Amino acid sequence: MVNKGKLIFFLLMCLFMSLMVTSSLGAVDISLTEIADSLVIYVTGQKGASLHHRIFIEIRLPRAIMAAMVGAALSLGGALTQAYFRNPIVEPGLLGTSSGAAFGAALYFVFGSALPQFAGSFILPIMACMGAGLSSVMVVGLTKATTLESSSVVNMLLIAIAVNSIFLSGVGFLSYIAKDPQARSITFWSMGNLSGTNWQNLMLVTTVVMVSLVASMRLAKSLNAMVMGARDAAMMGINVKKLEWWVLLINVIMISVVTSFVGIIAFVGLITPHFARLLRGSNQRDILLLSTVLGALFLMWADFLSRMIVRPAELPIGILTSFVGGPVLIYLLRKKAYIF
Amino acid sequence: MVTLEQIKYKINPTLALSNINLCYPPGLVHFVMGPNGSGKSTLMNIINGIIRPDEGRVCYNGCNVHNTSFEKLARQRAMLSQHLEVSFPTRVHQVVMLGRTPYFNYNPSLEDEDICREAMSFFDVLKLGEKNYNELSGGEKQRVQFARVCSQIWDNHSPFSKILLSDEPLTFLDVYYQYDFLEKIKTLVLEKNLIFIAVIHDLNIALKYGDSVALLNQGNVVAQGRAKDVLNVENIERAYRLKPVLMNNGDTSVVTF
Repeated sequence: MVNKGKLIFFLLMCLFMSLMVTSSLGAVDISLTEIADSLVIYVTGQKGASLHHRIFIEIRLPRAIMAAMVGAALSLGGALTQAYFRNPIVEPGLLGTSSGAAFGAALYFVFGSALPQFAGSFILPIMACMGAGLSSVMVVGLTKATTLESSSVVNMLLIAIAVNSIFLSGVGFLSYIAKDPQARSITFWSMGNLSGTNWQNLMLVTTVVMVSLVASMRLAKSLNAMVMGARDAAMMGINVKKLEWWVLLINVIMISVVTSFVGIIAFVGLITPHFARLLRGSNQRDILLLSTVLGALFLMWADFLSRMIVRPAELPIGILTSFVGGPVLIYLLRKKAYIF
Repeated sequence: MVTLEQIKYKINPTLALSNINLCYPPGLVHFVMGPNGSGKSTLMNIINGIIRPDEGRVCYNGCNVHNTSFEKLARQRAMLSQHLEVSFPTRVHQVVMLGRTPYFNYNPSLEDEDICREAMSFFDVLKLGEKNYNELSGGEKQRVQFARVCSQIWDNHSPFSKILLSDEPLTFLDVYYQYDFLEKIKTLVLEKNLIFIAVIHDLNIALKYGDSVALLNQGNVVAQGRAKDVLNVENIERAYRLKPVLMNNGDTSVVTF
């Protein structure tokens, strides 16, 4: 097991370095002095920002931070749901949360222009939240309705497959009936895309992720007890119903806000908690925090690669995460037990 | 003191617990016995507070279980279930520390650490502390679970006697550890003035270690009292539909069929 203090220091250094490297390279390369200059210019409010300065501050930096936040959210969602459902292959995508959010967002893309603009730019995340809430309630509710033992995870995963297919067919239908530009944005977005990032939606995502992280850390003790199963956790004084409610609430809000801005990005939430467990054993406090940081790092570099491979064009990031995630998952499943 | 007053609970259309009145004083080993499907596990779940009976009430030291919060209940009673599996690779020490869950908010205190260590050394699992729980044998897992549930009620300065419940604790143990476990439980019960209530199947163990036995059949308590009085030829034959041979050898009696 790796020393905690050293690990945190190392990962924070990695995060900072990654932020610098990934935001300096791309369709145009920006030097480190230009980065420093642009920060000075914008912090002090001076005039005379060059094109490179503006690209860094208005496009690269928010995008790199957004990638980190999205990775953090997906991984935290994965770690939370894996701990609560006591199953190492659960993730927000498998629970129907992502497809529900996608459906809500697709509704907005196709019919959004007809809606009153009372909530401004927040209407997209709100619609995604509603979709994700609906799909999550369906998965959990149907699992309870169809199984005697409410803790049957296999049954829940099967129901999630059914619910996922319903919502994804809804997304497919919407993109079929949509007029051209909207349809393009749905398809593009269903493979994940960070290019629409601006400081305003980055602020919202950052707030949601930070609040979710703090709330999740407060659940760590209860999630630890869940390792023995729901019944035994209840015997240890855990209010399992309340815990379930919190896990689903955090998951739905966090995943739908993220999904509504950057689309569906698969596999991140599935694999990072495995690495966290490899590094730090099984205390949920460590796993939640570590998954969050690892997810941030992972997605920053995935987004970087998606911009670099076919530059100056971009690959949808979801293609990359799935391509990396599949083999990694198989490798992880091949090992019978984790090493501490 | 654990008391069950006028408990009624419908288990399924054909079986119901009816009119159960039981009283469990501290410092003694109590067994719940009966044939398969007689309602033993349901009764245990009523005693531990998971199931709310249709009528009647369960009290720990005079307090109604269903008016007490989860966490407060967990500081008074621990329950050892038959389920031993842990869903993620976990160190043995951490599994035992789960027992202290109701006592700390964020980090276990030094006292929690001490209690964990005491419980682990009491059940002979201290040397397994750093191992991966999933790689232990069934018997070792069982003993680690004993340490976990006991650490939950280990408290040395509580004015009230704490409650240890268990549903078939001997399932995964070899003969040596079965007797070893009961000797240890007997010591703990006397030392800490615990109330120990367990479902077991072995009539001979019940005769040897039980201070009291409640015999269930088809949802009714057909006999209760001192083990030697309850487990007589007539009651055993009625409950288990087999004619037993009871052999008395001085202080100990042995049942065979």
